Amino acid sequence: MLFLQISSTDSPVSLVLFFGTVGMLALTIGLIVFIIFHQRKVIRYQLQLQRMEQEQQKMLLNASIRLQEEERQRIAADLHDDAGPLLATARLYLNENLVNQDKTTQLQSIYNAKQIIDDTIQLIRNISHSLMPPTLKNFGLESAVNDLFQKISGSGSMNASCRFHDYRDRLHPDQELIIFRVIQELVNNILKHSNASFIHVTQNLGGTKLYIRMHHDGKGITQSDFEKLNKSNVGLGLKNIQSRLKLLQGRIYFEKDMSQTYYKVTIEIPRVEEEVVAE
Amino acid sequence: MGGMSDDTSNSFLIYLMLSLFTLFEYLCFAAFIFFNLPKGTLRKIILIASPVFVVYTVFEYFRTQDSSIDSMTITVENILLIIFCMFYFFKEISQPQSVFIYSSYAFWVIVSILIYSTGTFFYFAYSDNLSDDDWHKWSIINHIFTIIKNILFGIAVIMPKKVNTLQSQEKQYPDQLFDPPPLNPL
Repeated sequence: MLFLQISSTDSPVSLVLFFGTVGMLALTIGLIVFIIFHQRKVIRYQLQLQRMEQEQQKMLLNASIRLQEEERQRIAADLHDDAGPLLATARLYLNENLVNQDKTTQLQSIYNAKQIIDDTIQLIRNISHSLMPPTLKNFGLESAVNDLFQKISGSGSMNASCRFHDYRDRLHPDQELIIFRVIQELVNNILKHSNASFIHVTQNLGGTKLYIRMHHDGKGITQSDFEKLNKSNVGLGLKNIQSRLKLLQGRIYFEKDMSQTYYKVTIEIPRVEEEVVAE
Repeated sequence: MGGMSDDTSNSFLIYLMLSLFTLFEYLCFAAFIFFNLPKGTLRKIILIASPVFVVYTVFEYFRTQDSSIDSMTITVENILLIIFCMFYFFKEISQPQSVFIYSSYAFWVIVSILIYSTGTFFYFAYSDNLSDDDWHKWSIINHIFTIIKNILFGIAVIMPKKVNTLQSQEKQYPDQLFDPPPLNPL
């Protein structure tokens, strides 16, 4: 009907009116269709991202649960294999006292029992220290890392050193513990896999961020390796590092030095006031 | 003479009514789009444009009192509404709220506003250049797009108010997975 009207009139205004309206309508419908399809595409992409993020979270959670279980098993093994037999032996010596009335033998067995109990105390102390290093609790991150590195250097297998440039104000104990665990895990990885001859840790402040950098001259990984390992089912320790740093809203970056002679690991943690963390 | 005066006052009244209708229509549609946009620049633009449009309508009313229709005002209204509809679509693309855009009633209202504004754009823009015969002949455009607008409004009315958002989709668990609550918990 509209087309009949336009064909029966010679007015240019009518022509503009007809084609203008049809054109506008076509443009509008095209736009709406485009928006519907584009929005669908955006939603699909977002859902995919969400799914990937959930999978990543799941992997991190699994890693942290597995690590916790491994730690429990290690403690259980230490208690069962070391502390258990020691206490049982001490009990045997003490039982001997009840049976044997000879004074010298009794003194000898009491002395032996005491020695064993001392060993057990030392063993339990070691277990407790591995759970929560007292140096960290009492003297802070700097001392705890120093202590750890002294032990490593003392073993003679590797030269480990650390230097804290600006650590006058201690972080919140929870933050210190997490950072210490991350450093421990990194050092553990270096000891296990890198075949390095030295580890050096430096700390510094930059604005509101705290930076810790670890250098070693062994076989290391770069950021792309780290991301690959994080997405795979292996690399439990690395996933654990990632989930711990996530708690502090921190970041970690693995790279090889320009000189290609050593690897660097940089940890970046935002400094939070103690009261804020406590809240 | 008296008849002529009646005709003149009638046409003034009709013109006044048309101008008021344009203003009312613009304010309703602009308000609807405004409330469907997130807080930010886009909302501010609507807030700034609306008083300007109101002033322009009043100005145009006094300038073209002898006309039969407020052609320029309607054209400006259409342009503003088309731009505001684009704002809504831009928001929907950049921050999608629902899984399917067409499952929200706001989408259908906006589409109806957009189709009506674009469809009648040339008709109202050229109304001053059309003869009375042509004006009546082409008024079919207005009728068709008014019908389309009302149909789309109808679709918007029957759309459920709660849309299937991205969040709600995540949190939906089938009830049969869980035990029902005890009838008498105490």
